Amino acid sequence: MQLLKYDVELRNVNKKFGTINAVDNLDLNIKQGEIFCLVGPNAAGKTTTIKLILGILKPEKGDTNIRVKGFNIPAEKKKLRKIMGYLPQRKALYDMLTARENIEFFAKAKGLSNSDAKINTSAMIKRLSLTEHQQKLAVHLSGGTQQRTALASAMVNNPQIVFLDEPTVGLDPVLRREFWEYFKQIARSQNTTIVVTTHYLNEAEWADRVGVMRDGKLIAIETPQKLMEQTNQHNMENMFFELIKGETQ
Amino acid sequence: MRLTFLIMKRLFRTLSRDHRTVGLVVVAPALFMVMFGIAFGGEIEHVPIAIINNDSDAEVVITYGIFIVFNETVSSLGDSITNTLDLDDPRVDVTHLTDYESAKKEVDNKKYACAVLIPVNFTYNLVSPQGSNISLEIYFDNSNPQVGGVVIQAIQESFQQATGEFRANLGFDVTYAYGKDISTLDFFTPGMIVYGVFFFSFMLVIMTLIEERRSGTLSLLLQCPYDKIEIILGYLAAFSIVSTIQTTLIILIAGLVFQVSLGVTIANYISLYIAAIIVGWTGLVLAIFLSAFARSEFQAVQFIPITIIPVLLLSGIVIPLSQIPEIIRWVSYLLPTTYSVDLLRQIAIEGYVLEPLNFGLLFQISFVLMLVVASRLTLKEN
Repeated sequence: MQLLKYDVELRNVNKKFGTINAVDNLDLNIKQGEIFCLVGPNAAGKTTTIKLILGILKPEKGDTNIRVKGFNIPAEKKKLRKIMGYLPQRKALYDMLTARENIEFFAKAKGLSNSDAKINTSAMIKRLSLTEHQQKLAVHLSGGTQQRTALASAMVNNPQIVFLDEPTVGLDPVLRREFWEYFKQIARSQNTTIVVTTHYLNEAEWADRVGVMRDGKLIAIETPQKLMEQTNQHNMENMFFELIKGETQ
Repeated sequence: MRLTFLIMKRLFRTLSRDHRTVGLVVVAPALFMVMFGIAFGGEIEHVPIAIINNDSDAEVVITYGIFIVFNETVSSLGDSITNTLDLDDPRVDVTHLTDYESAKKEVDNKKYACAVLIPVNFTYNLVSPQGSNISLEIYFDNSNPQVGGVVIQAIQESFQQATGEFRANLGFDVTYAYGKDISTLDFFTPGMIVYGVFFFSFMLVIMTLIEERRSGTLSLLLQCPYDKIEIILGYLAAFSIVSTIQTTLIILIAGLVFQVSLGVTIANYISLYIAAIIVGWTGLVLAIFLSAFARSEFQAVQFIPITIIPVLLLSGIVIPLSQIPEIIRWVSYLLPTTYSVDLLRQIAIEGYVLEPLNFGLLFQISFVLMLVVASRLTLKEN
């Protein structure tokens, strides 16, 4: 097994849908324990990148260009899934299960024993303030509570690497802030690697590093502060438009 | 009226952009009517029967008082009847046998629909004034009354035609191998179990899987550290219980409300449940496989004309296979439900107890295994 410097490494990864290059010659390193945020307009390739790393999609040139530290991919794909968490764009919950049942189901599906699944579920319910909603059917929960339940389901196995695809979409600013505080807390306390995609550019400021994608290409990758300095901007939104402008010219 | 017009225009515009729907609008009714027409337009033909003809030409002595008027040789009526059935009647295919007891066993084994014994001196007894009354023995499988009725009619017509004026002293002694007191409901209920269990398994599973895919839970399941086959097996296990509940309901309602008996012994009922669960599996694996090709519940419904309708019309549920024209009968033999219907009828009507090497059972299990493997390949997030 090759020793990797980074937790996740992508080298010259390509993905086409028909004639469109959804991901175009992508080189990307994600460090252990960092919160890495992928930003970009619609159809920039953010979700495709996450799906490529997770193995949901196959890259054009085979799996060998995507590596995760400590795992021989694709041979150890299943082993890797035990330590990974994933929150898809949609609120992936079973409507007719309660919030608790949903979280516990995914804990067990991730390979936890029955007793560990119960313990972790209770811990996640407490951590994400779901106590008063835990016995409600998912279909009867508000959008924000559904998203918290979905996040709890993604994190219930205490994953070492988590991929969160637009986890804060549709949430109010208070809840968005709560989510990011939670991401920071687990990244710092458990050394969890967190990869987040978002449309909300101001959120990207809370990440350790930001990758800016456009048309399947990674056009910049740096800490939020350095990106703002490089573009002489004071906020992420302006930084983003400055970068895009530069790319277009 | 403005909104009515707008809605109509919008519906046509959106429907015309969904090519599959356009196909459905045109192809579905055409396909349905063609299948319906072909299936119902045929006649029951080529039903295999066995005839044991021990008859021979007869020397008939015609007397008047104590005077012999004349001797006459009458050609064997048995030969005439056999030839009529063999050469001129498309409803039956005649096999000539010599031993009635072994022919009866073949009827028990479903090789022939009936065995007819034309006895020694049949012609003599029928036409000679010295002849005695004859009772013609027929050993008869009436487990499918639609087919049975046609076979008995063919046999009786041929005897009546051949014996003409002499038929007054001819009787039919019919012994039933299966289905002596069978009612229409007795006959159709096993088929309805197949249809009900298949239909609900198929529809419930395809809808559930599309919902799993649409909601994103399938993505999460596919990210779990298990093989995809476990997702399929989970569905199989759950819907086995659903099939059992459905079968129980049908048995209870058929038995308690309509006095239909679907078995005699516990072994019969166990066989019935096993066969019904396997029917559920066939619907389920087909649904899992096809769900990969439908993005919405609306598209799932579009599979009905190519799945549920052929099952109803071509599996022998309402139309006997021998009535389905040969040009389309091969489709029947490819449908696992054809074997399910046959198996459930054998169990419910004939008291058959399932054996592991039953061809129908093996065909259905092979179908399930084949589609489980195919579904494992097609079960993807998108």
